[in-house]
Amino acid sequence: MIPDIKSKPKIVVDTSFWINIVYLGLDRYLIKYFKMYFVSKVEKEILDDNEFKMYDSIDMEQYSKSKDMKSITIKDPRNISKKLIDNLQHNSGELYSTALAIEEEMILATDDKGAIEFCSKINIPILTTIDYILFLYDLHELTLNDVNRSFYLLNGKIKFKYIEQGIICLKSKK
Amino acid sequence: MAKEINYKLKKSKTVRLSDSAVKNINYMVNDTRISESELLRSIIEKAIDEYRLKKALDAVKSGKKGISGGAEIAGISYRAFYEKMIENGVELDYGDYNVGEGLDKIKELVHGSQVNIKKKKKANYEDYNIGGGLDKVHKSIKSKKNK
Repeated sequence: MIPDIKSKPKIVVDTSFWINIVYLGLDRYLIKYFKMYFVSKVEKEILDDNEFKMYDSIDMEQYSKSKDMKSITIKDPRNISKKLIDNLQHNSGELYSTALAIEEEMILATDDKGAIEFCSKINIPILTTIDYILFLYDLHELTLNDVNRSFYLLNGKIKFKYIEQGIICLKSKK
Repeated sequence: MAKEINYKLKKSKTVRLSDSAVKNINYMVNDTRISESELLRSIIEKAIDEYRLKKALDAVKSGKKGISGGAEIAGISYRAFYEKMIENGVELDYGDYNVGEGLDKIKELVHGSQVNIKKKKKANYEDYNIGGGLDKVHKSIKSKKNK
């Protein structure tokens, strides 16, 4: 059953998070539980529009599909604080995504260190790819085998230390 | 690596080369059938790209830059740089963040939003060998890393 879109919590999605969750085949749950926002810079990074582009990757296709289905809202922040500019890469997807999350009190879905550290300090809710896997397991969308598979696939993309933390979190639920 | 080549060349540089380098260049010119200047330009450009990529990967590895910052240093797109990171074994770092620390808040937001989550039977963890399955993954990842 698709929940009412108006009541879903808002989430602003950063590029690395999107690429990772589509790679794991978990993007459909994001649409199910959240109202998704993307800043235009992130859209540009995902679609990687340039004259040398020869093919569309799966996450590009999934993004375009979700946009066609109107599951995605493009929104840019009105203001970016100086503190944010000083702490994050200028003119980057994570900068605008973090600014939007602050402005609209959204959850920030990111795997970017700078954005994670900044949002942690100011209590903006963060969802990393590993958090998201744990979240889906808690909601019974993923079985333990699915979680194992996802963690295995993330090896080499995300530092093992954080995968290990995810494993410890799961074990503590026992 | 997608890169715009600027054919409006403005400056010329003179360099002294070793005999073996000259021999190799001559061999490559004959072999590839491209002009000597074009060949030298492509060699220099490739070396510059490699240098920039190395600098970018080092910056990400040391935590000074994220993917966007690295992509800017390398002079390539975000996606291309993320692929290079994976190829070169540079993994994403969450810094001091502890995985799972913000999950309760997010679950609260989802549940509080009156999302009609289909109520499923409460997970019976006793049915699963939680430690066993995860340990297997843990070990296989670790052994893959050690290879």
